[in-house]
Amino acid sequence: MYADNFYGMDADAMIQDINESITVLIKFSGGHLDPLRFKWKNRVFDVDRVTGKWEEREGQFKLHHFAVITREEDYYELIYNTRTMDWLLSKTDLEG
Amino acid sequence: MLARGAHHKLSPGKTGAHKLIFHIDMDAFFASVEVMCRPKLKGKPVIVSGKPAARSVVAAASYAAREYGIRSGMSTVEAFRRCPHVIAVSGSPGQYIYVSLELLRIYKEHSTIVEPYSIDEAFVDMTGTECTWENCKDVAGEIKAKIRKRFGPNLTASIGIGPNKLIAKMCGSMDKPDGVTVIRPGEFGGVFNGLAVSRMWGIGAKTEIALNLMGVATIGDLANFPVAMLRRRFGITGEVLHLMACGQDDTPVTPYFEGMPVKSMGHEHTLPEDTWDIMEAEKVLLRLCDQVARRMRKKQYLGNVISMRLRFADFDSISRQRKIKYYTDEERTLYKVARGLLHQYWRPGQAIRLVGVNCTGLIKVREWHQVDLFMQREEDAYRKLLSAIDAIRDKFGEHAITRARLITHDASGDIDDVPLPPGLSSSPFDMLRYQDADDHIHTGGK
Ligand SMILES: [Mg+2]
Repeated sequence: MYADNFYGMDADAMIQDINESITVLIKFSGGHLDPLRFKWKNRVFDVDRVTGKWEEREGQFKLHHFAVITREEDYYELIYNTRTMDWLLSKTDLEG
Repeated sequence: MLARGAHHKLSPGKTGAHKLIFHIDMDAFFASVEVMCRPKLKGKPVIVSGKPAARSVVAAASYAAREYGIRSGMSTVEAFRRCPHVIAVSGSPGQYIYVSLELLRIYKEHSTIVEPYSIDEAFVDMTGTECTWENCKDVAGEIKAKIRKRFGPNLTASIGIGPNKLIAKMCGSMDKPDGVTVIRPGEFGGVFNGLAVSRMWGIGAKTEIALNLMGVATIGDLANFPVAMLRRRFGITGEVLHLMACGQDDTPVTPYFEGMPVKSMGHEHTLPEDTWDIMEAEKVLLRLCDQVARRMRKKQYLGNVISMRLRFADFDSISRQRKIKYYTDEERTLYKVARGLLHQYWRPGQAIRLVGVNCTGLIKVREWHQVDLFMQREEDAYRKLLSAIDAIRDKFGEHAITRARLITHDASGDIDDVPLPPGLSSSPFDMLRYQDADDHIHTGGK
């Protein structure tokens, strides 16, 4: 966008917003919730490790954020919405 | 694992002759959290700056970005000018709060007295725990190892250990990143006397200039400067400056909830005529306590830190606070504590011009159950953590971080950050005030 680049600044050019619904295989244990695998655009991605977890509140509901690295060493951010019980692929890093 | 310091008690007014205080400061915190999530950012110049725009400000810079002269508080435009290929990340405040609370949980395994000082800094009072001057470096190493185990190698802390908060804070920035520095009782002067006064915690640009004009260049100069002259120039702050330059500080490490006085409720009253009569001041105090308690009940707040403020005829003022063991909204409790403080700190002969009373450590009555749970139950740590996040959100609001940034930015130029006298309640933004110590005050950091 020109507005952002006017000062020669890129808003983290490698991060792309996706915001698409995805199917996720998860593990529940010890009060924790971890994504193991997700499917986006008919492709399956295996989560190698969860590098960050945090929560945001939406009224009485919560958005659980997960920063994950896939087996291919690509970065994705997933969000679980406790209101809709839906998973969203929020972002990815185009360069991995 | 070390035993918890269960026998700790806060005793304001008591000087900490034999205290053992840790200051734990995360290195380039926001940038490091981003690197933790996206390991490929490691070693690259990264800034956290919100959405880059003409007026956005760098909230944190990775060490690689600092090599280009980028500092937090700088405008994003300037950061890009200094390093055109810097990676600007918008940042996830929710995640920073989350990590911050997890860190506090680690510290609390070592002492019950943990004070969050900003989102990435905390004081831990180790006095009376198994941590001693002999093994404190090992304990610091243990804390670092726990952080590494929990968050991986990209999130590091620098730890300063001293006999009070001032010294712990000041030596914490001497070996950044990932360092441990210990200054034992009596060693302060030897380490700091030769350094510029600007290296003192809390001395801002304006105070520095004022001191330089008085011929005070180093911390040692300040320690040896006549207190009376400091007092004439800076008021009561002059005495605080003197004590600080001598490495003295008896402010207690104030644990957890009272460390985040988001809101306060208080009233002040200027007397029609200055008075030397303490009974007169008591009467005013009682009426103020009545008003404050009524307002707290109306707004459904309970509080557990009560402060009393006096301004004298010469416009000097003092503010002293005391934490009580339970939460209250009753005027008799407010009055009992405030009156005690009045009697303790007023000196006969000081003419009183203004009296004030203030209650902080506020929680909503409906949160009381939640906080009670948080503070007393040991099991189910995860739920406690969640309720803590909720409590912070409820209190600060989702936009607290943005507002805090504005304040930090201002503070670098306009507000002269003279230290508050001990006991004066802290800013509502303290918890979320983000600035790396090595960026702002102690520019000598690596
Ligand atoms: Mg820091």
